[in-house]
This record gives sequence, structure tokens and C-alpha cells, in this order.
Amino acid sequence: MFHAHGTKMKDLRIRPPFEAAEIERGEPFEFNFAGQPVTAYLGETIGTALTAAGITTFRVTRQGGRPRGIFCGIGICFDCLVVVEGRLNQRACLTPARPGLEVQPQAGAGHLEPEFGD
Amino acid sequence: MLTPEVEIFEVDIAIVGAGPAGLAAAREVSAAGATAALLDSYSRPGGQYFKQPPRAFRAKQPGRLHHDYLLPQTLFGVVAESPRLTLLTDTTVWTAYAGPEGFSLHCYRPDQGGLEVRAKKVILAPGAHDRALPFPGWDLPGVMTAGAIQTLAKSQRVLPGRKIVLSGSGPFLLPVAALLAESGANLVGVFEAARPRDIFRYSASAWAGRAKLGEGAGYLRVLRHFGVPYKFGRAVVRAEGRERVERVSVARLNSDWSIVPDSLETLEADAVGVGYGFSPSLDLSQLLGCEHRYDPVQAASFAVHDPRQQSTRPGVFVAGEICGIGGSAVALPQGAVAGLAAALDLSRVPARPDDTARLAKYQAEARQAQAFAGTLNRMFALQPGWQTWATPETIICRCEEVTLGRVRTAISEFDLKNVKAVKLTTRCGMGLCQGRVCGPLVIAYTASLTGRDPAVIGSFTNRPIVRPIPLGELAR
Ligand SMILES: Cc1cc2nc3c(=O)[nH]c(=O)nc-3n(C[C@H](O)[C@H](O)[C@H](O)COP(=O)(O)OP(=O)(O)OC[C@H]3O[C@@H](n4cnc5c(N)ncnc54)[C@H](O)[C@@H]3O)c2cc1C
Repeated sequence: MFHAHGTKMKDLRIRPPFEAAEIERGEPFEFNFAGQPVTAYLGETIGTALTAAGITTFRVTRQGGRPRGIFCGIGICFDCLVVVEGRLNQRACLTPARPGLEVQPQAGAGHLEPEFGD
Repeated sequence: MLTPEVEIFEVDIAIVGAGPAGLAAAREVSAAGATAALLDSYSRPGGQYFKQPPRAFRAKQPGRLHHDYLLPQTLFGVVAESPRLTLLTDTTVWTAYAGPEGFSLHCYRPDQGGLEVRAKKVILAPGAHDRALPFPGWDLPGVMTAGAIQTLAKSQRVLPGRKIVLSGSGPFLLPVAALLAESGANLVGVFEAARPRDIFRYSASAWAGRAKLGEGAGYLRVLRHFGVPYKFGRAVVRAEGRERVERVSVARLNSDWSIVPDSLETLEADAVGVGYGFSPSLDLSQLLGCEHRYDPVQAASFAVHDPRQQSTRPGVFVAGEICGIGGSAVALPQGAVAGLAAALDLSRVPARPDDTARLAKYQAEARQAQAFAGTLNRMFALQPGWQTWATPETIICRCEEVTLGRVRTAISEFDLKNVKAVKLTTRCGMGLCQGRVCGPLVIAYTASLTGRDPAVIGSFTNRPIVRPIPLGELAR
């Protein structure tokens, strides 16, 4: 569920010739998501790197066990929650990816619980 | 983490939100000689419209990042260079209150201590977020807001999928579609719910917005160039797939947006962007006791203000999307009015000879842009038939996983009359998003199920903590 669909395809990053502003990303590196290495470039969020790799499910919901990923993309909806280095409820769409980060899909939460945050 | 220290920062004016409205306000405050703190949750200023790529990305042709590139650069420059302005990014205002001396804004900064900003005046410019309408499968991964897709593609430079469909209503779909097409995406189709004959009823009053219409025509040319179908009177009304969206059903709509029977067409897609206008972020203005008014055209409430952008709460100024959805063309002059008016209300700021003329100029700009925004809002107003797209099993509150069936049953079984009662009974709106996503939906459903006017059935928000923060923060 937390894996890429259609592996072996090229990633979803926008690259020349479609890069009008000729943006150069920062340095590439890897972090871990659900125990698998994921490539990211400095400046990308965790959500971006997962999206680029074709991974769309970041967590499952508390009651229905439903898969969820990026929804609003701007930090409003709290759908893309992941566990970053043991911290719960981190929004993948806003949290910068960093080399070696341990990121786990979040099971549950999505409401104000005592374990929220640090 | 439980350090009791809270840094205190005193300024004349606290500005919440560094989008177009907040930036324009800051420029005027500084020009008038007052001090301001410009607070924003994001790591870079710009808000939604002037959103910047991350610092680590380098653009060799930065002029092509934004069709209006110089304007935000000028504003960022003013904020960076003015000794009277302090930009505080990664800073989320989570509560605010008025005291005898002015206002206190409590801020959460990840990995830093707490911050309390004390100010004599407050300018609220917190913007808006996409409004999505529910249909079966709208909570499948791969279905996201049009704004999410734009953010991924514009500032993070990644596509949301390999076969993309956009669906919604309003002019915002166009720049998102054009961006995707120019970025090499396989955009299968763009579906605008409104029908041409409903849109063009208002075309005479659209003349005021010639420039913006020209921008729209440019986007349409891009879509034509890339062969992207742009169809009116249609919407994605179902998404299906295992674990993620794999296909969608696109329906033809009647003018009330109910589905034309037997009109469903199935398209393969692994990413769907939905956007039916925007919902304003009213949490802080509600908390500070400002009055809001429901606008039936926009199907949302907005902060009431006078011509100087002062809310009904003296000392609290409001600008941008929380006064009515109008985009940056409205947000910029409104922010300028708010900044100038707030500064002039400070006893220590001497008036300049041209202040009155400046204020009048910004007010006129805001009024003109608002007139055009009002026309667009009428052209693309939500029609009630969207409420028939969801089935009883469709989740309405994504956080608490409350279905439409549950909402309906609760309303009829307990004879609920307002939105707060629906929240307490069903848990709709009690999750981490604090009802930002389901709020407009629950208001609409409650209104139609009870036969009451949406203007009188209230809203969810009114929490002392307007943004979720770690518990440790509260102990400070
Ligand atoms: C995802 C998205 C994409 C958009 N793209 C376009 C586009 O391409 N073209 C267009 O014309 N319009 C676009 N819009 C519409 C947009 O609302 C306006 O164009 C414009 O940005 C509004 O300006 P503003 O200053 O009112 O608010 P915004 O630009 O939204 O700025 C508000 C700022 O306030 C901050 N904020 C809010 N609450 C708090 C708080 N409690 N503490 C600290 N900071 C806070 C936010 O982080 C944000 O940066 C978009 C909207 C969204 C949601």
C-alpha cells in the first residue's frame, strides 16, 4: 500500500524541456519511507519526494483504515500525516525532506489526541 | 520542550499572513513610519499567489516563474530592507486576544521557543484555501485540490500523476491547467461545472476586468495548443480505484449542477484536481470577535469591514480573501488600505500630505477589482445540485470519517437545527483540520436538510486554539 504504483518508470519531476524557468534542484539524497529508500532533492518536501516516486498513500485512517495522501497540499487539511523520526502528525506536504530521515506512514490520528506533536 | 520561556516582541502593528494582502499592508506601514511584524506559517513569504520555490531550488530564468514576476520581488525587497519591518516565517499564530494596551498574538515556531507578539493594531490577511465538493471516492489518494496540484507543480516542480483530470468551477482551473500542460503533463481533460449560457449572462459586467480576461484567454490558448479538452457543464462525480484513484466518471450537469441521467463517461486517471472556489480562513477574525456576514453568492461568510478595512472590532483590520474571494487583484489594494489606515490610527504616526489621496487611490483600485471579482463569483457560483453527487456512504468529514448518511440521519433523528449541533452529534469538523474542509459542506447540507437559511445556521469554528499545535506549547 505504501509503495509506488508502476515501478521502473521515470519519476514525476518536471525536467527540461518542460522547465521554462530552468530550475535546478538542490542536492539529491535519500530518506526512508516505510522502510524503503526514497530519493529527494534539497528543497523538496516529504510529500513531493513521495509523489515523485509514485507513492500516493501516506497513512491509513483510524476507523476505516482508508488510504490517504496529499489532499490540500498547503497544510490546511491534515490528510497527509506521517511519522517523522518518531514525531506523529507531521504534514508531509510542508515538512522538508532531509537526508536519512526515518519516515513512517501514520496509522490513525487525524484528530486532536494527547500524543499530538512532540 | 517544556521550557516556560516565551519571547515577547512588541511592535506597532502585527500583520498575520505574508501573502499579497499582508505584503502590501507591510509596505504601507513601513512607508508611514510605523513598525510591523509580518507573521506567516510558511518558510517563505508570498502566500498562495506569490508562492516561491524552495530556497534550495535555483531558477536560471526566474522571470518565467510568475507571469507577474517583478511585483512580488519588489514587495519581498521592501520587507527585507525596511528597518521597521520584521518578517517572521515558520511562525503560526495559534491564538490572539485583546488586552487593555492592545493585542497579543501567540505564535508557535517549530524547533524554537514560543513567541508572543504584542501590537497596538492587528491586520488579518490569512487568505483562503481550496473548496472541494464531495463525491464517491473523493477521499481516495490521487484525488486532491486543484491548489495542491498547482503547489506541487509550480513551486515543487513535480507532477501529481501520469494521467491528470481537473474538475471544478471558476477561473482558477485555467492557470492550473495551463501550468500542467506547459510542464509536459498528460492532462486528459478540464471540466468546468458551469455552463456557458449561465456564465455569459453576466458578461456585460465583465468588461471591468478586461486585463484579467486577457490573462484567461492566454491560458485557453495554451490548452488549445496542447490539445487539452476544456469542457463546460461537466464535473467529475465519482472516483474509483483500489488504494488510489484509477478512473473517474465525468457527468454532464444540468444548470443546477444535478447530473443529467445516463450522461456518465469513464476516464482513466491517476490524479484528479478538484476546486470549486475558495474558503476564507476566518478563525482569527472570529476569535477576535469581528462580525462576519454570509454571502449567498459565494456560499461563505466573510469579515465585515468599513472602507478603511477596519473590522467591526476596533483596531482589527482585515484584508484579502477573508473579506470576499477576489484574488491578488483585490488583496493587494485592500492590504495597502489596511496598512495605511492602521498606521494612521497610531497616535505617534504623523500624517503625510498625500495620505488622503493615497488611501483614496487604493480604495478605488480595490473597489474596481472587487466589482470584477463579484462578476466572476456570480458566473461560477455553486449550484445546489452538487449535493446530489455524494451517496450516503460518501465521507463528508475526512478527518473524523463521518458519512453523509450519518449527517442526514443525525439531523432528522435529533431534529438538529444548526451546524454546531451537527458537529457535536456527528463529530463532523472535530478533527485536526478543524472543519476547514467539511465546514462549507456541512453548512450547505444542514441548510437544505432543515430548510433553513445558511446565513442563520452558524458555523463550526470559534475555537480558542485556531491551529493545532503540540501540547507542550500550551504548558508554556
Ligand atoms: C493553493 C492555492 C493556490 C492559488 N493560486 C492562485 C493563482 O495561481 N492565481 C490566483 O490569481 N490566485 C490563486 N489563489 C487564490 C489566492 O487566494 C489569492 O490569489 C491570493 O493569494 C490571496 O491573497 P491573500 O493575501 O488574501 O492570502 P494568501 O495569499 O493566501 O496569504 C495568506 C497567508 O497567511 C498565512 N496564514 C494564515 N493563517 C495564519 C496563521 N494563523 N498564522 C500565520 N500565518 C498564517 C498563510 O500561511 C499564507 O501565507 C490560490 C489559492 C490557493 C489556496
